[in-house]
Amino acid sequence: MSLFRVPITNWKKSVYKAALFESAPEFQAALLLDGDVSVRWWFRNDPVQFRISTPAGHFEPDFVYEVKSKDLVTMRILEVKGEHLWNGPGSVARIKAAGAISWAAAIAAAKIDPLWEFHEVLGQDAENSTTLGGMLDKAVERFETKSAVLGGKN
Amino acid sequence: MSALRDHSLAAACDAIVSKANLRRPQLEAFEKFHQLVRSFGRDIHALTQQDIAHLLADRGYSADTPPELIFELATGVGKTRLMGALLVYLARSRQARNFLILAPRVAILDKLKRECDPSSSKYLFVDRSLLSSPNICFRSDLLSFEPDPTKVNVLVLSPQTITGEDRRFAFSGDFGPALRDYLTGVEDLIVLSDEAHHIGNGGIGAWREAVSRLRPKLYLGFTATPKNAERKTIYSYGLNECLKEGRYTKAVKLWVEPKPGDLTDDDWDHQTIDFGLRRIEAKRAAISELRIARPEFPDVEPVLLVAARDITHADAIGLWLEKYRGLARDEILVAHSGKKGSAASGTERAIGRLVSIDRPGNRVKVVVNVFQLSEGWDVTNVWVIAPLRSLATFTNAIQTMGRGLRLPAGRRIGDDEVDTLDVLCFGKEDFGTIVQAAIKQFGTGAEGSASVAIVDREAHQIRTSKPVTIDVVRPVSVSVPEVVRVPGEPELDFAPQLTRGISSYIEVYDIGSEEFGMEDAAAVRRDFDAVVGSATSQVLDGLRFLDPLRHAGPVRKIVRQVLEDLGGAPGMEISTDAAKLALGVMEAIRTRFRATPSAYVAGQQPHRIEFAAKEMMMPVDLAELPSKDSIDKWK
Repeated sequence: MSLFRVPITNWKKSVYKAALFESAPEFQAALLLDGDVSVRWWFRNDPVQFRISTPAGHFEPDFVYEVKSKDLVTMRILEVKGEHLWNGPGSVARIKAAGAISWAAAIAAAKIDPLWEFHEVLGQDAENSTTLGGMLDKAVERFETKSAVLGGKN
Repeated sequence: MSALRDHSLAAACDAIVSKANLRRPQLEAFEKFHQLVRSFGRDIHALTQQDIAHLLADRGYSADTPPELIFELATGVGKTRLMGALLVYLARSRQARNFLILAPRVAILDKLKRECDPSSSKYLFVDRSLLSSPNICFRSDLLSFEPDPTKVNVLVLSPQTITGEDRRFAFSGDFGPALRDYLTGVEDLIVLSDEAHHIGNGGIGAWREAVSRLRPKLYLGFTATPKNAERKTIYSYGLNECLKEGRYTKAVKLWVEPKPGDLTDDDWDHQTIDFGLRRIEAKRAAISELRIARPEFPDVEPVLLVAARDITHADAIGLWLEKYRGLARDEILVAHSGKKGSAASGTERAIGRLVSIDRPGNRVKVVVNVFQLSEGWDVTNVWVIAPLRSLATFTNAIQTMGRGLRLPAGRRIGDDEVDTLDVLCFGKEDFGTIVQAAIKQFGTGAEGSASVAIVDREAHQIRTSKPVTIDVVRPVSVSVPEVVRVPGEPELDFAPQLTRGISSYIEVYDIGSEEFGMEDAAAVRRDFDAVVGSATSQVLDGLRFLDPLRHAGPVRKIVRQVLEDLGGAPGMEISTDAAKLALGVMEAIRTRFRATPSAYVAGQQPHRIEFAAKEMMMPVDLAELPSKDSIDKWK
């Protein structure tokens, strides 16, 4: 039986009792989030509860999560994208990612607490990662606030 | 009967058949027509109208003049393709060189115009090698068009244009006789009529009269719903047969559930739509899954088509979807002819939006329309149809289903969900009544059930998923800062190239083609500056990110430039529809804004994401939701 969009349970840090996925990389990303010590909670943004307006339409990222490291709380947005959707300059995915970066940068510029960060990870990279930090290192687009400490030890 | 003539006809027939890749019903119709023309014994241009009427009467057809033949092909089988093939056949076999194609709607004229472009994958004239550069006239070319007796002349017009009110068609210009006089004078005019049932309709006598006055040698009608076509139908491949054969359209599944007595109409509307939305989710999932294995399958957004009783009802449904089902405004298309302005241009506007929903990048998930918009537009991504209230009857369901029969890939692909159109019949009729009606329409037993599958929602446990409530287990609070997106601003001073792009858009939607059935179809002419002013304010009104104070000047300049490129000038009386002009300009401006990066500025009013229990769907055959630890490999 296919697990496509079947709600899956037994998470340690998911806000909801169950979360559904459309691909193996999304599921793997959830496992990495759930297992990372710095992550306080995460939610799968499906049905959509969080969106950012961009020139290419609403950006509705896959995950929103909160990390705490050395008493510093940071909000993070994670998008996992299939390579075929990402490829090509000017793809919708790239425009949306640029929008998300500008969005987070606006919050940083206004020094709003907590700060927000953003990572866009390709499907293959997510599937081949074993830690959250390792996956985020491979992000193809990102906005990171300098003072925040990334995924676990890095 | 001359052997040379036979040879020429057969050669034309073979050439087209070898290139046109006709489907079986198209091929049968084509060959039947070929045999008929062959049996005439003389070329059409050498016969009088009376001769042809007699020849047809001898063969059991009506003896009316103009001689008329109707091709009935179910929606989705490809009427336009057949029409184009027949035109090329008649031209290549030197039966005729003058053709008038009539189509009653701007949306259809627009489509025909695109398909007259040799680079179109649906090239109307089948293949460039078959017919060397036909001399084509669209409505926007009426002033400049000159018929060329040495070439094949094809006019693509609306019936309204030929009824006589359009000066450019009826009256002679500076350089030659009126087109109407030209067409009446030639010996070989063939009229081909798309969606011909509008013209066959007795209520629209003026159109029929106008066609008669042109004295065509043959009038060929193409329709899915013939009217008054006794003894005129040369070939018929109707919906019943098409559904039974199950090759050229989606299969149809009719879901039946009578409205419980204790529910209000509104509540029942909402439950019906909710079910439709769930069906759409199932379609979307099936399409996504299919596309993993077959990425060539078009990436289309499945659409739920809701048929509402009237404009007020449609608007209320649209608001409900936005407010209570969380659909974004651009995911809902409430399409009707509108309350203000002429119903005719409102209808054209609505249909113009409807026909675009299966283009790439469409965001529309639900179309709410009113019954009068139930034809004249064809898209491939309507997968679920929900007629509401008194429309939820078997008869209406059958009528409405035409909008959802077309297949995105042009053929079925072997996935039940993707190959099937769901029609919800949630009204007063119970399962038994509908089965009876279906038997009457489609026949009994295997034959009938091959046409339309009827499903009693309660009695048949065919649901594959059930709702499950997912609770919040870690209550958290998220404050999302307000961030305002300020679209970047491009220079609103267009390069001529882009202006030309707008111009061709306007030509397509040109000049007051009025709603069919209007007796006074004369285009309303207005002063050039009045059209510029009206279009400018509609653009400013429609694009909320523009500032009327700052942008009125540049927008006005763009609008005026478009009209001037079309041959207009201040002081002229023109009939360009300001609303359509505005749509074209808006799209061009929007495109430029989209290409310009936005600025994001943090605001002062954060909002909070509230987490509450939510409903998801789970497969019915699972006793409980799977644990992440039980999953070895995600599949």
